[in-house]
Amino acid sequence: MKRHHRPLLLAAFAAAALGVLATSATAGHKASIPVPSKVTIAYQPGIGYAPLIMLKTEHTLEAQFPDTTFSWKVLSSGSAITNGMISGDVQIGAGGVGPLIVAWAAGVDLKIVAPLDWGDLWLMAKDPNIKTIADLKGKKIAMPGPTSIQGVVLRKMAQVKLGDAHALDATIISMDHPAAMQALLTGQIDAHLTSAPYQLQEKVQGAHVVARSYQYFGAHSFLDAWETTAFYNQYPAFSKAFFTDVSQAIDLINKNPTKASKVLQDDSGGIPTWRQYKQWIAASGLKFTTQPLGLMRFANFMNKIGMINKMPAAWTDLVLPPVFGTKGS
Amino acid sequence: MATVATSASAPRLAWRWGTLPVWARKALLLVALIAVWQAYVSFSHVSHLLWAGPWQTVRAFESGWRDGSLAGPTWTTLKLLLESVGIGAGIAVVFTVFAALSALGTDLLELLTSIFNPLPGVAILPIAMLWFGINRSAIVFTLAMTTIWPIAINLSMGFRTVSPTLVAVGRNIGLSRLRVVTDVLAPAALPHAVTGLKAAWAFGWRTAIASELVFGVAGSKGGLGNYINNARLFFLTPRVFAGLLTIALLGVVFEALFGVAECRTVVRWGMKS
Repeated sequence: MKRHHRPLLLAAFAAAALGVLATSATAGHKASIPVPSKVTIAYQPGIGYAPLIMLKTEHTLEAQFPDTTFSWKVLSSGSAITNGMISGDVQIGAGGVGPLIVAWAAGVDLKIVAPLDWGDLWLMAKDPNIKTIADLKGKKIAMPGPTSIQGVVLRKMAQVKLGDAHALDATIISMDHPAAMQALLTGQIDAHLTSAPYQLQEKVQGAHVVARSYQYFGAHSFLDAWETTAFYNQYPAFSKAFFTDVSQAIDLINKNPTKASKVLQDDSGGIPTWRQYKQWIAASGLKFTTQPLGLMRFANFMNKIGMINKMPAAWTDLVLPPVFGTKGS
Repeated sequence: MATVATSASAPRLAWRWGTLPVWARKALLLVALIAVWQAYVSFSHVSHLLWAGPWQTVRAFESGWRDGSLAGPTWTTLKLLLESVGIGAGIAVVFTVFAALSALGTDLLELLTSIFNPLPGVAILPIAMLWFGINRSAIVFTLAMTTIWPIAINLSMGFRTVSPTLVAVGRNIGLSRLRVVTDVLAPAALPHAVTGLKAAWAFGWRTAIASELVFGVAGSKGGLGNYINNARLFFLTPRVFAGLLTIALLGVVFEALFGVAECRTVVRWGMKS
C-alpha cells in the first residue's frame, strides 16, 4: 500500500533537493542537504593558498554550514596532506599538481574539487657561481619532497638540460618552504625550488633565479584543493558550495587585491603587512583561477620518466564534477 | 562438544608445546603470526595503500634485493653506523681510561653520562644540522653522540667491578697505572664492553633510521630510512614493508653475530655463562 506513495515522495524529495541545490549556491546552506559534521582542511605555507586563507579568515564556510565543525591545518608537504586524506584525518587537502597525480596514479581515490591558481616556480640559488642547471650537479636543492610539483619541475629541467630526468634526484632535500628559505640564506643548502612569496623574499635577500618552471612546462596549474571521490559522493552539494566559495574568493583577490591583502595580513597576525602582501601578489607570477591548466602535460611527463605508471585518459579524470565546466587541460 | 574437546586437549597441548624444541616453538609462532597478518589483509578489505600482505612484502623484498634498490640503501646505512659506532667507541674508551686513571676523570664521566645518556639521539639532530649543515656529518655526529654513553657507562662499570685482588696483584708485580688499565682492567671488563657495544649498536641503529627519515640524504645516496620514506611518498606500501623487513632481519643477524662473538671470547674464557 505504501508503495503507491513512493514515487510521489521521491518526486517531492527530488524537488526539495533541487530547490536546495539551486538556492545553496546563492543563499547558502539549508538544513536538508547532507553536510559533514566535521571537516579538516589542510594546506601548506605560501600565498598560493590565498583563496583558502580568505575562506578561513572570513569564516565563510562556518557561516554557510553552521552544523559543521571546521578545523584548519598547515602541513609542510603535499604528501603529508595526501597521507592525511588516506587515513581520514583530512577531508579537504590542498597542494601542488605533483602529489595529486602520484596519488591518483597509485590508486588513491583523490581528485581536484577546486583549482586555486597557476604559478611560475623559481629555482633560486645564492652562490653566484650557480648560473645554470648544470652547475647543480652534486649540490643540495631543497623542496617539499621528491613527489612535490617542484620535484617534477626539477626532473624536467634535468631532462632538458642534462639529458637525464633523474640526474639531480640525489640532490633533493625534503624541507618546507620557510625552513628551506632560511637554509638557503644561511648557506646550508645550495638551491631552493620554491614558490611565492619565498622566491620573492629570497630574491630581495640576494639570491638569484636560475630557472623558472614556465620556461620548461609553459604556464601551468600550481595549487588545487582536493577531496576523495567517496567524500564528494557523500556530500556533493557541500562540495559544490565549497567550489563556489573558492571561486568567489578568487574573484575578490583578482578584483580587490587590497582587500585580499588585508585579509592575508589578518591571518598572519599583522606581519607581513598588507602592502607587502599586495606587492607579492602582483609580483608573484601567480594567477588565481579555477581553471586547471597543463594537468595532462604534467601527467604525460611523469609517466614518461616513470614517476607514475598509469595515465589519466583526460584532464577530467583528475577533477570532480564542479570543475568540469572550467575548460581545463 | 567443541568446548569439551578443547578443555580435554588443553593440558595435553600445553604439555606437548613445552616439550617441543625452542626453534620449533618460535617457528610455529612465526607461521601463526604470518597467517594472522595474511588473514587480516585478505578478509578485512583494508586499503592496499595502508597494508601490504606477507606475500607482496616478500616479493617487494626479493625484487628490491635483486635489482639493488634495497642493497644500496642498506649498505649506506650500515657504513654510516659502523663509522659512527667506531668514532663513538673510540671516544668512549678515551673517556673511560681517563676516568679509571683519575678521580677528576671519574667525576667528569659520571656527570657527562648523566647529562647525555638520557637524551634520545634524534633530539641532537637539529643542533647537529645547524653546526654541520644538512649532510652526512650531522648524522655521524648524532650517531656518535648516542653511542659514546652506553659504551662508556658499561665499560666504566666493568672497570669498577674488577676484583680488587687482581688490580692489587698487578700493582704488586710493578705494572704502571696505564698498564694496569690495559693489561688487567681491560680484559677483565670485556663482558661489559661487549654489552656496551651491543647497546650502542641498538641505539645507533634506531637513531640512524630516524635521522634518515628527518632529511633525505646521507651523502649522495640515501639509506634505509630514506628508502622507506620515498616508498611512502610514492604510495608503494609493499616496499615500505620490505624496508621494515630488512631492518628487522638485520637486527636478528646482528644479534646472532654478537652472540657468536661472545661465545668465542667471554663465554669460552669462562667470564660469562
